[in-house]
Amino acid sequence: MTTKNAATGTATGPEPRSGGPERRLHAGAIRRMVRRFRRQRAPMVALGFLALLVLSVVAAPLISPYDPLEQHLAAVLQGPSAEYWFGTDELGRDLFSRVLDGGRVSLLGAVQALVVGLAIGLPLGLLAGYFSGVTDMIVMRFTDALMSFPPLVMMLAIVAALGPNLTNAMLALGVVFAPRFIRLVRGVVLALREEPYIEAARSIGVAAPSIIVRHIIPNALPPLIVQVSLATGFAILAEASLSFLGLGVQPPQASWGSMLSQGFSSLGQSPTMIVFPGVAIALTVLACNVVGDGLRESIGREVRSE
Amino acid sequence: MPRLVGRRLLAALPVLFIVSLLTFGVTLLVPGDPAVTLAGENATPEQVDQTRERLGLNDPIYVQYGRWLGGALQGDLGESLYDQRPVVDSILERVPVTFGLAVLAVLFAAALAIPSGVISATRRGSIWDRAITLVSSAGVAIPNYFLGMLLILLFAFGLGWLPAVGYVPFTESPGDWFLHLLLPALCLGVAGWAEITRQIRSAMIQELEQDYARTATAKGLRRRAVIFKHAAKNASVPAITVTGLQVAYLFGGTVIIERMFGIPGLGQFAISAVYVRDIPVIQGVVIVATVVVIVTNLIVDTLYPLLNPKVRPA
Repeated sequence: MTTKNAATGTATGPEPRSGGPERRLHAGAIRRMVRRFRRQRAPMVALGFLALLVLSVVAAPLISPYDPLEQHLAAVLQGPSAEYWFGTDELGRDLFSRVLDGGRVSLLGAVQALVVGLAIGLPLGLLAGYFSGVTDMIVMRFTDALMSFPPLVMMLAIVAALGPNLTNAMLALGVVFAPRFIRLVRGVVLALREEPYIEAARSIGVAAPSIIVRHIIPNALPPLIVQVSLATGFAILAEASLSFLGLGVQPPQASWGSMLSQGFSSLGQSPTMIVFPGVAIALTVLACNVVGDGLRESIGREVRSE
Repeated sequence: MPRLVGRRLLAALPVLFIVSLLTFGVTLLVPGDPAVTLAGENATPEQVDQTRERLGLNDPIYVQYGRWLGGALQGDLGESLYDQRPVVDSILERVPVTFGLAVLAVLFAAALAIPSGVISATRRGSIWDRAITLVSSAGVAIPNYFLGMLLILLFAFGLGWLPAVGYVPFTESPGDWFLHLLLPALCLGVAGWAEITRQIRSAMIQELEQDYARTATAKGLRRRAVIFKHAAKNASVPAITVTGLQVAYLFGGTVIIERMFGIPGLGQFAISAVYVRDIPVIQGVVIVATVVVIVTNLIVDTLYPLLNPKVRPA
């Protein structure tokens, strides 16, 4: 809701000085972040691209010229044409429709992984930061250990144990994200804990959950949003990697990663098959990173960790 | 110095302990009765019982962990469920292959990142800086296997300069070894190159703005000397850290790159084990890879004070 207000309530031009320090003081951290973000060109373009992408994969059934699973055996391994915009695969399936459909799988997978990562990372980070002491020590040692596993190798181990499918793969990715979120949230909490207003709240007897929800979480949000947007890019790459290895999405369903692996086996006959899913991954990840960098630039110095 | 190393080693112990706990814990993730899964799809009930007996799955979990850890500390990581070979032997066979690939990748990454990082930092805002920033952003975003396919199309299928897939051991023919690893190492190194370039760029910019750099320029030192004698030395500290951190990602990268290019290394070994759910092999690879990562970070941490006296403990 805050975001919406900020979006409608701000001018696109430079911040008007006449607004006075008073108004700026009351604007939330998120509102200031949105305002600064909107002034940057590349991140705004990247955000626009991502919005368009999400819209088109959601509306895929309406946009797709063909059913992504429908086989046109008279037209296998074709290059791009007016009939099949991105060409066809070895079963004559329309690649444009499949890229759209695969995009939904890739993006949903990324969301799943982020939700898992946040569900583990947020509460543990809050706990470790707020209560410190033994809780903090135990949580942080586990975090250190988890972070020393090479990410993809850890995912392989989890997928091997649980069995190869997209949900397990994204669960594994969530476990990769968790320690990174724990560290971030803990760091913010540790810094905030010493703030006079938090101390004041504590000393007048405000309960810990209430302090966490009303003061700490809103302040932890901006850096968390930056990390989430950068993690989204990593999630899309990781999903693609696991699906490329055949450990993520299972046929006949496809994601961009599994389409690349399929294209790799017919690289000699139809080199165009790899181009579109590959470019789709690269552009999406690039857009996520650009948005993430833009968001990082937009965080006020007051909450920037460095 | 030895005291510092000792302290770092001591600090790494609890992490190593938890790593071993978590690696062992992979077995617990196997849904249902692990013996059924581990014995294979077509196992008879007797075979399942045998597997359970052989792996000691009837014992309490801490006994199982103790046995596994005891073995691991003595260099025994169990046997493959697939071909019954000792996991350690199979891993040791493949380490040189992956090591060669990884070293080449890091060399490519660092050798290219130093000039590109320095150029973009010293000519900030120029066309070179913009080009390097653009390419390095793309380098992080492009999946390395997609890049691999494009390179195969160009250099193997198109120009015919390099072999598309395959591997020749260094001991057989160093030249062929290099030719076969050239494309895979490039693909593997790209993300690292981009990351290190970014790091060098921002560190160099920061250093060049420092007072000492301005003083050096003011007293008439040539720009080249300011850049390489003063700024680069201090900027190398964060760059080395980032290079060290790349090792963890490199391990992940080798899994896909080795599979794609048909290189018989650790990554290829790990992925084949995942397909047949050969848990002891997976555990072995995980623990070896993680220990290598921890040791690398330890080395980087120890190098730190050598390069930067400011962080040297009193």
